Amino acid sequence: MVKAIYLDINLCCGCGACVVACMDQNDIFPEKGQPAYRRIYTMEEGQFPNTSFLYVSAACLHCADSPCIMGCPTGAITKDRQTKAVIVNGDLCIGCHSCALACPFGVPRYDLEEKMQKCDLCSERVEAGLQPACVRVCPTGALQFKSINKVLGEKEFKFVGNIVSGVHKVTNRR
Amino acid sequence: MKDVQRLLKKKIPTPETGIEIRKSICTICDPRTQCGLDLYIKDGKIIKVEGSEENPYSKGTLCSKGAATRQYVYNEDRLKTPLKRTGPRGAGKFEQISWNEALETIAAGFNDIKNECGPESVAFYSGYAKYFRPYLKRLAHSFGSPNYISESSVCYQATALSQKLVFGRPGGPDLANTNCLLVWSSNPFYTNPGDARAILKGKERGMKLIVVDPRETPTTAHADIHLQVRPGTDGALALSMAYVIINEKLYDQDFTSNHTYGFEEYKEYVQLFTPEKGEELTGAPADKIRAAARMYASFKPAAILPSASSVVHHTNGVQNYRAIFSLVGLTGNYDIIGGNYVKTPSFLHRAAFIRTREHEFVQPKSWDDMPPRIGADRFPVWVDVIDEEGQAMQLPYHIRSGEPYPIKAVIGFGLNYRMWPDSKGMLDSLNKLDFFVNVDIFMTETCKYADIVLPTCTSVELSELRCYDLGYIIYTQPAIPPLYDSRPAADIIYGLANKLGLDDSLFKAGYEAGIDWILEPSGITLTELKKHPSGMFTPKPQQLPEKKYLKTGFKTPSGKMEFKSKIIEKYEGRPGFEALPVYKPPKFSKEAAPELAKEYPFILNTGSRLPMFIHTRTYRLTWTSSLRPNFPSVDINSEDALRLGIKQDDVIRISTPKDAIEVKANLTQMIQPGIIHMYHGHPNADVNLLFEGDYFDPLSGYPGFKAALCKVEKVSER
Amino acid sequence: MLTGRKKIAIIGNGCASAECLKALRESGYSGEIHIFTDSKWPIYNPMLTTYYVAGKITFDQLFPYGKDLLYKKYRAHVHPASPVVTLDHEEKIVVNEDGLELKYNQCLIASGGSPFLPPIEGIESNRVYTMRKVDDAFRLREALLEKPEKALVIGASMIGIKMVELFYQQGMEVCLADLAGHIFPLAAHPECAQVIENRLIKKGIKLRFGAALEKVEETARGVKASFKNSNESEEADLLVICIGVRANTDFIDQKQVEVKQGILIDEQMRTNVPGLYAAGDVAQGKNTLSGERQIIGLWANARYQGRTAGRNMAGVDETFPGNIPHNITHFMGMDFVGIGDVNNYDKMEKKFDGKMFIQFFWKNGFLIGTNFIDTYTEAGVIKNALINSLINNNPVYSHSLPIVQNMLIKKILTEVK
Ligand SMILES: Cc1cc2nc3c(=O)[nH]c(=O)nc-3n(C[C@H](O)[C@H](O)[C@H](O)COP(=O)(O)OP(=O)(O)OC[C@H]3O[C@@H](n4cnc5c(N)ncnc54)[C@H](O)[C@@H]3O)c2cc1C
Ligand code: SF4
Repeated sequence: MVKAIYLDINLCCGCGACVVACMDQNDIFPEKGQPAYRRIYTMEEGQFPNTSFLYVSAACLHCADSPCIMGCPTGAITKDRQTKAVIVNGDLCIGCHSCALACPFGVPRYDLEEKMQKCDLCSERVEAGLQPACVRVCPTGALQFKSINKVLGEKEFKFVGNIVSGVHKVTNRR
Repeated sequence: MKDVQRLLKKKIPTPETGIEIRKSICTICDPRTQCGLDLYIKDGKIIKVEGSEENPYSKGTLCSKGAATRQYVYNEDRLKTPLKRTGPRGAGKFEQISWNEALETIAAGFNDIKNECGPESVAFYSGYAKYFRPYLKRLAHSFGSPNYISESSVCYQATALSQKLVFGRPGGPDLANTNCLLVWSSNPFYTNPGDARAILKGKERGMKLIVVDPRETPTTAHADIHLQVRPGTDGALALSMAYVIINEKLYDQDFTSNHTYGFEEYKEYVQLFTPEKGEELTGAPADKIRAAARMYASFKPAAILPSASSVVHHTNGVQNYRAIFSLVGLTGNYDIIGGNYVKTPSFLHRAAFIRTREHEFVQPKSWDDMPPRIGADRFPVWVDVIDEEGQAMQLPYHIRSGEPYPIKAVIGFGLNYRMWPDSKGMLDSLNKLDFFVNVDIFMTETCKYADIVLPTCTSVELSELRCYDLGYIIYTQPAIPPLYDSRPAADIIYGLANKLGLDDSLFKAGYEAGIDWILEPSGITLTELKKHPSGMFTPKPQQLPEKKYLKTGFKTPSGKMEFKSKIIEKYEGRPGFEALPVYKPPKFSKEAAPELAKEYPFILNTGSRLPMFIHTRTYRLTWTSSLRPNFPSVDINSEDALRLGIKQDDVIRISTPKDAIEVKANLTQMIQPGIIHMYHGHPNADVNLLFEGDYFDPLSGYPGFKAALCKVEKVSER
Repeated sequence: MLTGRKKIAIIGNGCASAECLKALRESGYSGEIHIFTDSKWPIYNPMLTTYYVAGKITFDQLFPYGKDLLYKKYRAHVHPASPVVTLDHEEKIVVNEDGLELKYNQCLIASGGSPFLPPIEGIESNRVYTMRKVDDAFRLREALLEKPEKALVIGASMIGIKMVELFYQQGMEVCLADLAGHIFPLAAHPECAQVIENRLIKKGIKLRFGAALEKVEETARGVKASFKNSNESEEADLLVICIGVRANTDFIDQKQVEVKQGILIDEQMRTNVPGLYAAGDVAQGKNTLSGERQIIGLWANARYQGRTAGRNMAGVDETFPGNIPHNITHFMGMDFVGIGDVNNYDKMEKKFDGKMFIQFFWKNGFLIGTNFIDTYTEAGVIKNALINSLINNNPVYSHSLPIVQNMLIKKILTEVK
C-alpha cells in the first residue's frame, strides 16, 4: 500500500512544527546554509475587514510523473519503487539547477556544496513502521500520511494533475 | 550505505542502532501544555525529539518550539559553570567559581542583608519558568521575605484577579463539553495546541465558535463570528453584548436574582452600550455584536476561553475582564459542565483531581506575619485578592524609592529586565542593587549585570512534578544528566536553603521528600510515579459537582457573584477603582488622548503571539527563527504601508513620546489598518523601551502593553 | 536484410531514443527494437560534456542511463558506431554506413543536432573546438593538458557561457564574442543581459558583441580570429564555437519528409509520413507560445517527446502539447533564468535590488516571458504556470491552479510591485 503525505489546508495553521521536526529529523541547520525541506507558505487576500488567508505546509510532493526526474541531466533523481518517494542521489547531483526549473512547486533547493536537497518522504522511518517526522509532529492533524487510494477515494479533494500526494482542498477557508 | 548506517542516519531506534527513547516533558512554553517528549538518545546525547504518544494532552504532537528542543538543550549560549562578576556590570566579565563558593557567597550576602535591613530586603524572583516556583516561594518565606515575585505579575495574575473579583474562584472553560465557545483574545493554535485541538473537535460536533481578536488568526478562521475589535476595547464589547442579552431577556434570571450582587446597577450601566455604541467604541460591527451576544446566550452550555494576559495588558484591563466574566454569570454558565467550570488546582495551577498540600508547602508563613509585599502600597486590590505573590512590576520603583523599606538584593531565576515596561529603567534599578544573582540556562543580557550567575538546566535534564487538567500526573526523570556543571533550579534552591541555614524541616528533608509531603493527601507517592516515566492517570480522581456555590457560596465579600465588586468598592474614589466594570478607553488612545493621537496616530500592540517564539526563549534557535526570517520585524497593515511608502523588510522607526526603535517592516493583511503589532523582548529592537514605566492599570499594576500610541516612519529601504 | 517479426527502428541514441525505448517496453510493446547510432558510446548527455572536461564528474557519469543497462533491461538491439545513411520510408528500410539494412514497421528519428560551424575560412583548423559529443570532450580535455592561457568563445549562448565558466575556472583569460548585441540574445532581455555582462566584466571576462566571425588563422600561439568590420582581431590558444545547433537530417529525403529547421511533428510526435516519428533536437514540435513549430533543444523536452513517441508507437494514445523555450544556467556563482518570450511584449515589469533581478513580460494581459537573475526558487512554478496559462487560455495566476503554485506565483509576481 503506497502512502503519501497530504495536507488538509483547513487545519494547517502555519505553526511550523513540521518544518522544525523535519530539520531535527534530517539534521538541517540553517546557519550552515542547509536548506529546509519543508516550508510554510502564507497567502493573504483582500483587505480589512474582508480578508482571507491560507497557510500551506509544503515539501516535495513526490509527483507521480515527476518533472524533476525528467529535467535532471545526470539521473540523480529517481523514484523509489516501493515507497514511490522521489529520491536525490547527492553523489550524482551536479548542482545545475535544472530541477528548479522543472519542478512546478518550487521545491528544489541547494546546499553549500550545490547538491539538491529535498524531502525524501522519511522512507527509512516508514519502512520501520513510523510516520514521516512532519506528520508525526503536526499539532492539528493537518498533515497526514495516508494510503493514496484512500485519498483518491475522498471526492472532496481535487487533484493536482497526476500528482499523488499533497492533495489540497481548493477552497479558500473563509 | 550499509543498512545500519542508513537506519542510524534516519535515527531509527532499534537494537542495532543503539538508539534509545527516554521520556520527558517540554516546558519551553509553560502555561498548561507540558507536551510529552520522546527523546531519542544515542551515546548519551539527544539526537532527535518527538512528542510522546502516551501524553494525554499532547498526544504525540509538538509545536515548533518543542520540536526545537534539541537546539534549546545544546545551545552554544548555555551557561556552563557558576560565575562571579569581575568586570563592571554589563561587561560580561566573569570568573568561574565552584558551586560551593557561589552558594556560600549568596547565603552570606543574603544573611548580611537580613541582619542589617530585614529579610524583606531580599526579593526572590521567578521568570517565565514554572516548575521550581513552589520551592522558591517557600524559600522566600522561610527566609522571612514576603517578596516572592514572578513573571505572573505581567501574565496570568490579573486575569485571575478579575475572575476572583467576580466569582471568588476562577472557572476555566470546559472545552470538551461546551456547545458555544467564546474565545476572548486568544489564539490557542499558537499558544496551546491542545486547546486548538479541542476547538477543532468541538467544531466537528457542532459547537459554535465566537472569537474576539484584533487580528486574523488561525482561530478566527474557524470562527462562526469573529469580532475584530480595536485593542483595549474589550470591556465595551462585553458591555454591549450584555446590553443585548439583558434587553432581549436572554439572561439567566434565576441566577442573577439569587446568586448575584449589584445586578440592577450593572443592568442600568449596560444601557449605555447599545450595539451601535459598541461598534463605535470597539470597531466590531453592531450586527455582529448582536449576533454574538445571541449566540453566546442561547447555545447552552457556553464557555469563555480567556487569554492569560492579552486582555489585561491594558490600562483598563481588569475592568474589561470583569465586564467579560460578568457575561458568564449573566448567562448562568458559571461552574457548570460545558461552561466555565471550577476545578480546584492540585499543583502549579493544574487540577489533576487530587488533593495536595501545595498551599501549605508554598506558604509556610502567613502574609500577616511578614512586612507588606512589593506593590502592596499601590495595588491594594492585589493584596486583597492575590494570594500567591507580590506585584513584580513594581520592583524597579521599589528599588529606586526604597519605600516602604529598601530592596537590597534580588535573586532571579530567569530574570529578564526587558520584560518590564521602560526596560531601561528596570535595568538601571537592578544596577542600584547591592547584590544581584541570576540563575539561567543561557548567558542572557541580564545575566551580564548579575554579581553571581548560576547555570541551571532544561526540563529534559531534571525531575519535576506536573499535573494535567485531564487528571494526569507525571514526575519526570532526567533523559540526560544536566549538561556541563549546571544544576536543576530546585537543587539550587535546596542548596541555598541549606547554606542559608534555614530551620525548615521540609527543606532539610530534600526535594523528593518535599514532593511526597505535598502529594501525601492524594495517596500518590513518587515511588509509584517513578514507575510511570511518561506519567499516569490519577487512580481515584475526585468527583467535582457542578454549581459548588450552592453549598459553599461564592468566595467573595458578598458571598455572591459580584457584578459590582465589594472589594473595589472599599477604594471607590481612587481613579480607576469603580465598583462596576466601567469601561474607559485605554489611557493612550484616540478617545482618551486625542491630542497625543494626532502626533502618534498608530495603535501600538505588543507581544501578541507568533507561533515560533515564546517570549525570548527561542530567539536564539536557528530552527525556530528560520520560520520568521528577518526577525525582529514589526507587523504593519499592507494598506498603511502602501500609504507610507513602506515595503516588505524596509526599516521603519516606531516612536512614542518615551523613545523610538528601528525595526524591519512585515506587511500583512491579517491585522487592522492603524494598528501595528510587535513581538517583545528582542535585544535588537526592544519594544518595551517605548513604554513609560507607569503606563499601567491602576487595579492590577499591569502595563498597557497591548494598546498605546505610536508613530511610524520609514527609515530606509531593505 | 533483417526482416521478420515486428520491428521498430530508432535512429540516434540520445535521451529521446532512451525514453522512446523505455516507453515502448513499459507500454507493452514486445517486438524488436533496433537502435542505430553513429557513436560507439552508450547514451550520454551532451550537456555533461563541459562538466566532464572541467573534472567535475567522472567519465562514467556522462552516461545518465548507465553504460548499457538500459539496452539490456529493455531488450534493444544496438548497432553502434555507424551512422544511418539512408532512410527509405516508403519501403520502410534504414541503412547504416556499415551496410546493415533493417526493414521496420515504425521508426523514430532521434538523431539530435550538431554544433553549427559557419562556412568561413580556417574553420577546419584543429584549434577550433565545438562541444556536444563525448569525443568533443576528449579533444578539449587534451587541449587543456597543454595549459593554454587564453580561450576565445564564439557564441554567447547557454553553451557558450558554460565554456566561459570552464576556462575561467581553469584560470584562463577568456574572451566571449557574438554577432548579437548582448549576451543570451534569445533568452535574455537587453536590460537583464546588461546586468550579467557587468558581472562578467568584473570577473575579467572580455566581451565583444556585434562581432561577426570572418576568418580563422592558425598562429604560433594558437589561433587568430578576425571579425567583420573590425581591425581588432583576437588571438588565443584555442577557439570554441557555440553559435547554434543544426538538426541531423542528412539521411532524410526531404522531398517526402517535411523538414524545416528540423523535422516537423505533431502533438503525437508523428511526421507527415505514417509510421515515422521524430523527437528531440532533430524535431520541430509546437511552441505553445507562438503557436508555430520550433526546435526546442532541451534535455527534458527531448525526453518527453521521445516518451510520447514511444507510447504512441506502442499504441497508447498520448499527446505532448508542446513547450516553450526555457533555460536555467547556473554559472560563475550566478543563476540566469529565461522563460518564454522576452521580446514581443507590451508591458514589462522589473525589479533589481543589486543582486536579485526579476523581469516579467506581458502581452495582452498574459504573461509571456520572464528573466531572473539569482533567484531560481520560483522559476519552475512560473514556467509551469505560464505553459498552463497558454494551454488553457487562463491568466497565469488563477484559482484553478494548485494552491502551492498559486501562492508562489503570487509571491513572485508581487515582488516587482
Ligand atoms: C554543452 C551543452 C549544454 C547543454 N545544456 C543544456 C541544459 O542546460 N539544459 C537542457 O535542457 N539542455 C541542454 N543541452 C541540450 C540537450 O543536451 C539536448 O537538447 C538533448 O541532449 C537532446 O537530446 P536528443 O536525444 O534529441 O539528441 P542528442 O543527445 O543529440 O542525441 C542524438 C544522438 O544521435 C546520434 N546521431 C546523430 N546522427 C545520427 C545518424 N545519422 N545515425 C545514427 N545516429 C546519429 C548522435 O550521435 C547522438 O548520440 C545542452 C547541450 C549541450 C551540447
Ligand atoms: S514536487 Fe518537484 S521536486 Fe518533488 S517530485 Fe515533483 S517535481 Fe520533483
